Amino acid sequence: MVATDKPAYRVIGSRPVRPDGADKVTGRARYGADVLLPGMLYGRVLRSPHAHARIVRIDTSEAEALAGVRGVATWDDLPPKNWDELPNLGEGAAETRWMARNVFARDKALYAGHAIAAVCATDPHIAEDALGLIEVEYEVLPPLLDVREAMNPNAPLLHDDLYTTDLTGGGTGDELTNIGKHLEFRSGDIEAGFAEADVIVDREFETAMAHQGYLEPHNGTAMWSEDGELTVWNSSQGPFVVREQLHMLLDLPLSRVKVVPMEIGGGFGGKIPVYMEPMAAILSKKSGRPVKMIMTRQEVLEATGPTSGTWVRAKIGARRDGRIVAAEIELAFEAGAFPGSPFSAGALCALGPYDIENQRVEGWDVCVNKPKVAAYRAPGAPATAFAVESILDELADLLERDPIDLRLQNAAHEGTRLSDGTPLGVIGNVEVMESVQGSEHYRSELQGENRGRGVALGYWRNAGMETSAHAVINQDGTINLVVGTVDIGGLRATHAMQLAEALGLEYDDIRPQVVDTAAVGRNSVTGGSRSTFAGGWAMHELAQDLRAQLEARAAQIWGVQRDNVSYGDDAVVRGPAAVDGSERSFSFKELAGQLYGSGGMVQARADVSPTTVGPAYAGHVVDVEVDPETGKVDILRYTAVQDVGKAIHPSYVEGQLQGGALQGIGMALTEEYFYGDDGVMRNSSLLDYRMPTALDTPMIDAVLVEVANPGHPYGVRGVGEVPIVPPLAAITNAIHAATGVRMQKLPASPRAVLDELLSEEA
Amino acid sequence: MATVFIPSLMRKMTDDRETVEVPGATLRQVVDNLDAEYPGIKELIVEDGRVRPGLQLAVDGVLSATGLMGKVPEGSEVHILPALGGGHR
Repeated sequence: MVATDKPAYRVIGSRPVRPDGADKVTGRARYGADVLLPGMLYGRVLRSPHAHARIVRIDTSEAEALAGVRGVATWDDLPPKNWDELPNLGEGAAETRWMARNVFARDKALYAGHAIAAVCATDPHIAEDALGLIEVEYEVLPPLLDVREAMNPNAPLLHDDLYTTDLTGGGTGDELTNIGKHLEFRSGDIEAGFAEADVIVDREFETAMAHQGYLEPHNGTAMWSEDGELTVWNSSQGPFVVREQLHMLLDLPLSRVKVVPMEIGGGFGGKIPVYMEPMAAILSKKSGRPVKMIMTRQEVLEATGPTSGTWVRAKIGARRDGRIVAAEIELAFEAGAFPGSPFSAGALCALGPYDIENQRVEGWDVCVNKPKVAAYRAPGAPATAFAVESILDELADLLERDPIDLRLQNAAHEGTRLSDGTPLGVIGNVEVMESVQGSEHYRSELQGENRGRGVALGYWRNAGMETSAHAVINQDGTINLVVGTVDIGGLRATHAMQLAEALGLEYDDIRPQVVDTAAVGRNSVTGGSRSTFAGGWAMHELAQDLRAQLEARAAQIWGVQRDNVSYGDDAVVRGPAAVDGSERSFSFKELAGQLYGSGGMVQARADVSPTTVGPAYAGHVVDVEVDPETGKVDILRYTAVQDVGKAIHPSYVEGQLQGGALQGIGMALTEEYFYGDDGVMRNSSLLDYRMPTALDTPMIDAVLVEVANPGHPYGVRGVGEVPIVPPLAAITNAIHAATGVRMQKLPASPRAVLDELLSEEA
Repeated sequence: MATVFIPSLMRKMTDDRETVEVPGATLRQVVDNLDAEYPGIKELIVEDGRVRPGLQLAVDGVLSATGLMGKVPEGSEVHILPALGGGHR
């Protein structure tokens, strides 16, 4: 089905209250920390104080002897198997061998915070005390913290079995290395392109490792029953992916693992890998009792997956008339202790907003002695967009062009090939730029000293993946909707709205619920900006099935041919006129009331894996003021424009734009993992790891541009990720406009800005 | 015939050709026919009968949700792409 330009919707586009709203604002909603089971034990984790160390010996005997302790687990308690022979979990996931070594350190601790052992006890304080009784003998090794140093062939090696895999077709190398993966995109003639350029800007950029900063710490409670059934309650972005990881790590059949999704207090990509869930499972098996584990904030920061610190070199050349003729990007991303950074997404997205004939993008995924990174909202794209959008701004200056005019001249459009060679479909890139340019914010005059305005664009591909759902019609005409995709940003509501629209019903007629892995077919994670997109396809399929079944039932009741009955968009089923000439029709509720006793109730299921994904484009405008005495940057005004395809629930879409912008502001100005030379994080608390709050920013104005995705029944594009892409460069471009200083290393903290200002003066 | 776009670092297998025309109604047939023309290239794309981990195939810009079983209409473009690691996991 192809969405028309501006169809009239009844439910889509409205702003109803979310089904889970009352429970969440009253505290009734149950999160992972709320799980309480009879006889439950509490688990704690002993973590490495060293960033790089060989584990010579672990002695857990004293801990095990402590009264109240019911079990201790280490790497040796993972099931014996040849980890190297296991397949990858799937696209973007760490191989199982790396996943296992991140759950428990095998023979080396590879970052400060790496789990060495776990203890369960009748009381969390006893478990904590027991950690102090575990003796670990380390041979401390020098930590490798810099991504470019780690790429040096002579650098110390983190692993004795890591070879570079070339994602663009070169196979796998045969020399040990710290580089996990490599790729290159190349098209056109890069040398000829640069030879044609009148202006070339070539610069290096760096971003710091940064955390998703979700409110709720990781948690997991496991019960391994006597008959070999494992049940896990936790807060994650995907219970099915948690189940698959447990299946692989613990060597259990999928059918023997049930994961119950609790409500989730934020994830942003970081709550997809498992950390303590396998530990809790092993400890439950050892103790015969349920085991609950919750991370402290320090553990969240030091031992879960933030996003990569990055190095990016970008070189872009343009003719005097403004046409960009060549671009060359090199990028190296920190993977953390194990391969698997988002460098490939960063490489693809770098030049996504632009149509550039001659280009080369090369990237490396590099292991360093830091926590293994995880996905974080448009993973990789903010770093590369920071580089490219900074250079676009500088080119606009050099060519004396309006920055949006220059971007419009070079804008990607339908048919433009991305760096990987694939052609773009219908996109709203130009519409976003025009909306930015026409906005009151962009056209307003910014007055005052030390103030400047910046703009930047962003691209994210979005994803589809799998959604499985079923819908049951009740006798009163209401519907119970069952899905397995976790609700993070209002998904219950957007599912219900799309199903209501497709059936011609009211939003309140649909009651959605998120269920466990034993109650519905496989659902992919809530991530990749996929859930409302793929969920919409599932709702469309459910509705078509329900409509057909109701037509058949009505025909049966009336005793007429099925082909003469139709379900209308007003939710009325109509048949041929009766012999006496009277009209035959059932409202949805009337027919629902006749299902019982006329052949049984009606339900439908849908299993979809849509690939007709609509890419997302965003353009941000920001005004800043820089204090020349302290280097502190204040955000004065911020506008986020985005092509959203179709906003199913505009309030939730606006919230995504605002949230993404705020996290990008954090990456730009304040957030960084600050390490000592010993590789130990120095700011692992929310007091010292400084995330922006509502007090640090004005209201972020969200402008929704709707260029329908023709590959979706309602024109939906994913919206959650791309708004984090432009803020980094938009802010540094604004800082440049205010001060004349270009920040090429983030965060642009007061100290960093002041250093640049003083260097400029000198 | 389908037009297969060869990734830059795989072009050493195709005499530096950026695109190759091969017949095939499915991605499996396209890859097999590509390998018939440039022996050894299949090994870089397929492992144990499936698309190699870390790679994905696209037909006319749309990622194949069914791997090598994906249909290839006449005149299509086939792209061999790196998986977007970290995008959603």
